[in-house]
Amino acid sequence: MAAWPGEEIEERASDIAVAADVLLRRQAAWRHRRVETLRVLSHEEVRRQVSVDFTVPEEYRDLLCLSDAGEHAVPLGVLHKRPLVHFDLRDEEQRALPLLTADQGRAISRELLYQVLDGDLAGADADPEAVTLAAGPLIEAVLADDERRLEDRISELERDHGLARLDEFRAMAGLLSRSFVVWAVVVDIDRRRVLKFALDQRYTQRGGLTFYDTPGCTEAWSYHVEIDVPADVRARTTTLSDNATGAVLASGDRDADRPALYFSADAAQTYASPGLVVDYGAERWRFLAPAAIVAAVIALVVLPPWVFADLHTLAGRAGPAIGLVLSTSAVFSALVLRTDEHPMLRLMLVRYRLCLVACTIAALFAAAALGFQARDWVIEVTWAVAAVVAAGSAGILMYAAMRAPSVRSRPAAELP
Amino acid sequence: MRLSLFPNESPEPLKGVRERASVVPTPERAWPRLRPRTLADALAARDRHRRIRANGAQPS
Repeated sequence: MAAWPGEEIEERASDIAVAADVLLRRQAAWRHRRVETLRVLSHEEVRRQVSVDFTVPEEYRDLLCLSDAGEHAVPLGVLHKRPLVHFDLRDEEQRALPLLTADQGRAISRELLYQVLDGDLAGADADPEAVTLAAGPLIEAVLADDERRLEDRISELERDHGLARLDEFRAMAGLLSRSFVVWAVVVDIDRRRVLKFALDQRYTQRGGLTFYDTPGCTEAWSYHVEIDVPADVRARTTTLSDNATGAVLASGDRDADRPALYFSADAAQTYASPGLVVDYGAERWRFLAPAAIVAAVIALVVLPPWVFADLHTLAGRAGPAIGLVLSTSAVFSALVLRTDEHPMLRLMLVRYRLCLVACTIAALFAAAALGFQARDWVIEVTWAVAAVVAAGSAGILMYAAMRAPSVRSRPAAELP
Repeated sequence: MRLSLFPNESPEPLKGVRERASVVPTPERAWPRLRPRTLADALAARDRHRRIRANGAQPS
C-alpha cells in the first residue's frame, strides 16, 4: 500500500538530513548567488524579496528526494518561528511552490540534530550510544519549541557523560528551538535553479539612518543587495557592514535612487551582525528648495519693514494693503505644502513642513495685526515674532536644501 | 524620534550603528558555521544513530 504523504517524510527524513548536514556546512559550494531586493513600502513596512540561485550536486539529489513523484526538498534558508506576513515562494516562471509543513520540517530537524550531535561526539571518549539516547528528550524539547533551560540541559548532558563542550550541537539546538528551515518542494533539481521567496517586514522609521539586518549575506558564493528607493528620495550612502566590528564589507554608489551592492564572503570569516546601513535624503527640488524660496521671500517681506519702517504709521495708511500682500504668502506655502507623496518621504519632510507652516502663520498674524490696526505693542510683538520665525525658518530650509541630494549634487561624504 | 533639523554632515562610525538607526529586522537567521563534513561521514553518522535509537527503543 502506498504511504501517505506524512508517512513518506518519516521514511526519508534521515536521508534528507544527511544531505542537508553536508550542504548547509558548505553553502557557498552549491548556492551560486543570493539576491536580496528591499522595497520600501512605507515608513513602517519593507518588502524583502530573496532569490537563491543554486545547483544541487548530483550525489545529493537522491537523498533529497521526497516522493516517487520526483519531488525534492531543498533548504532555502532559516526563518524565526513567528507568523510571516505576505510570504510568497516562487520559481523562475513565477509559479507558486509548496513548502514542507511544520511537522515534516520537524522530522528532518530531529535527524539533523542527531547528525550534528554525532559530529560533536567524533573523537570523544564518551559512549556514543549512551549520549545519543540521553540526548533524545533534549532533542524533543528543541523540536517542541521548548527553549527553557536549553543551555543548562546541554551542560548537564556534557557533565553527566564527561564530554567536552558540544559547540555545534549547542548552536544547532539554539537555532532550531527558535527557528525553522524553509524547505522548498521542487520537482526538478537536475539543473541550476533560481527560487524566490518574499515577505513583508514591519519596522518604525526613526529618522536619518536605516539598518537592514542581512544575516543571509554569507549564505551563498556571492551576495547582491539592492534597494528600491521611493520616488523623490535618494540613498545618500549605502554600506554593507558588520555592526559588531564596524568593518565595511561593501559600499554602494552615493546619492543613488537604486543602490546595488555586491559581496562575496570569505569562508573563514564570520560576521556577528551584518547589515545594510542606508542614509536616506529627500530630493532637493521635491520640497526643500521651493520651501526655502517661499520662506526666504516671507522673511524679506517681514524683516526689513520691522527693522526700518514705522509700523504704527503704516497701520494707519497702508495696513490693509500690506496685510493683503503678506496673506498671499499663505497661497504659495499651500502650494509647496502638498503631501501627495510616499509615506516615508512625508515623514522625512515633516520637520521642514512645520518650519514653513510656522513661518507662514507668523506672517499672517503680522499681516492681521497691521490690517486690523491693532494696538502698537501688538503690532510690535507680532512683527518681531514673524521676523525671527521667518528668518530662522528660511535659514533652516536653505541649509537643508543645500545639503539635500539631487541629480546635480556632489557625492555625499564617504563613510569610514 | 530624532528631531534634528540639520542633516548629519560628518560620517558616523559604523560600529554599533544598529543601536542609533531605524532597524528593519528580518525573520531570517544565519546558519551556524559548522566544520565541513564529507558525505561518507554523514552517511556513517546516520547509520550509527539510527542503530543506536533502534536498539534503545527496544524493550529490555
